[in-house]
Amino acid sequence: MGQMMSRLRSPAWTWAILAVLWAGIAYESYALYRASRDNRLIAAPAGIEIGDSTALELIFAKAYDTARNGDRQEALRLYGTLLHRGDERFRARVRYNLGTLYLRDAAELWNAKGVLEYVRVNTLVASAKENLREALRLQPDHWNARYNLEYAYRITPPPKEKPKADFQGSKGSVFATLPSTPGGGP
Amino acid sequence: MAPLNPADTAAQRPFLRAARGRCGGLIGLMLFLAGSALPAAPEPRIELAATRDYGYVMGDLIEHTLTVRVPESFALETGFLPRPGALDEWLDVRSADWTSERGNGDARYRIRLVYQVFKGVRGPEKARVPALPLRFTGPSTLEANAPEWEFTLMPLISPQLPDEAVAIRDALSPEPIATAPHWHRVWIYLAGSLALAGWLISQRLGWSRRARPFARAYRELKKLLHGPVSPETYRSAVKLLHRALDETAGGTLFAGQVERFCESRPAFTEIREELVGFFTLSQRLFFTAPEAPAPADYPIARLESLCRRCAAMERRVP
Repeated sequence: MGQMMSRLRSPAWTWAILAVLWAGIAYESYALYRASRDNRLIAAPAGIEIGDSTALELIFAKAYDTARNGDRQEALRLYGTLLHRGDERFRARVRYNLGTLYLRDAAELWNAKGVLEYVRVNTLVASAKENLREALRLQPDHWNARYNLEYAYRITPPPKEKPKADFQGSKGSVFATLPSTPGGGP
Repeated sequence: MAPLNPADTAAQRPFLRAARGRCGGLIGLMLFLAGSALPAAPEPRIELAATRDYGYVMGDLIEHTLTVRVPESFALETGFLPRPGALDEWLDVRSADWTSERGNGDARYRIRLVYQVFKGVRGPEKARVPALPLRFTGPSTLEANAPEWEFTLMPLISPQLPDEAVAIRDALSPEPIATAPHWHRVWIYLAGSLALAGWLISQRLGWSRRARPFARAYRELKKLLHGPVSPETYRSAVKLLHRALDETAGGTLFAGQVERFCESRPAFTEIREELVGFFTLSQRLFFTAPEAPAPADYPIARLESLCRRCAAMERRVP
């Protein structure tokens, strides 16, 4: 123990520790520089260029800004690239925004056209529900996700009536409608 | 039953009919007795505990704890428990785990199930968690159902609010990247670097001399020798050297411990003999002949030289 302490007190070790600390300062300073640069871009997302190494929060900011400017398709595409990336909290935020985007489209269509746009409303609401449910699975205390999901259920169009059977045949027995033994069978 | 032989006479027929009836009754009785003689299949005892059964809303988690008691020879078939995922349209199983205890011929299973509700309602509504089938393996297969569980679900959006008037909650705006953790680490590294650099500088400039007992003793000895050298001054000088040795050894150093002292501090090995001589002098001065004047064979200059050499050895110690 004493030997180890005296070794630790030797100048070589001291300089080594000092070098590690300086390397840490250099690394953290670079991280701070990057964070500050990214934060400036988040504040003005128009300047964000999406590439392979773009930070997740920057893609999120770009998607959010694109949706606000009315390009919902591009926003959906950008959010879609983030679905399986980042930590749980980040993914919950992505799912919530994606679900809310679908829900807003569905609500506009439902309130304007009602059941006339049954298929589109149903598809949009189903996507909204799926994403909001996933957001709640990832972050159960997300109250806005709960609220929007409940609204999605409220505007879910009622299921369509089943079309009537149009069988016109007149068979004497139900067995007569069953397929016969295939040809060549035993 | 075999058909009656046409040869049977009309007189025989009632007798045969009665015999056939008696046989049937006997077989039935035997079957009943055989059935009642079999050991009855054990019934698992199931208790369901939930925090409450009211006031749930969309997205809430419901925690159920099932306590199941079965005979010790039966084991829960865990593969039969529901797996995390959607149970039905509006109910998810979030987790299913279990613990078991055995004793007094019973096995007690505590099954903890967490559900999540995704049911949209327009007003307070009753909902039902379906019965949970459980299976135990042992001498035979035992099956049981945890009871279904009813609870009240409340809407989050006011039922009076028409659909068109409901305001969809806004999307979440991007969050700035946190810089505080980086700043904390920079300050920690900086403080560490400064402390270490300060220590290194202090080592280089010799500020730590105060911590060197022999160097300090030598300085005090020089001061002591400025005046006339009396027997009292001599004793004080010896005491100074003793104090420095004690401080270096980390406790009182006696004559018999000089060997070990030198072994643990190799820098002092080359003055081992000098130290032994010093302890002999000390013994004579303080115990054997305390009233005698300063010994002529150990002048104070030798004492000073020993102290200087010790201070030099001390600097070699890292």
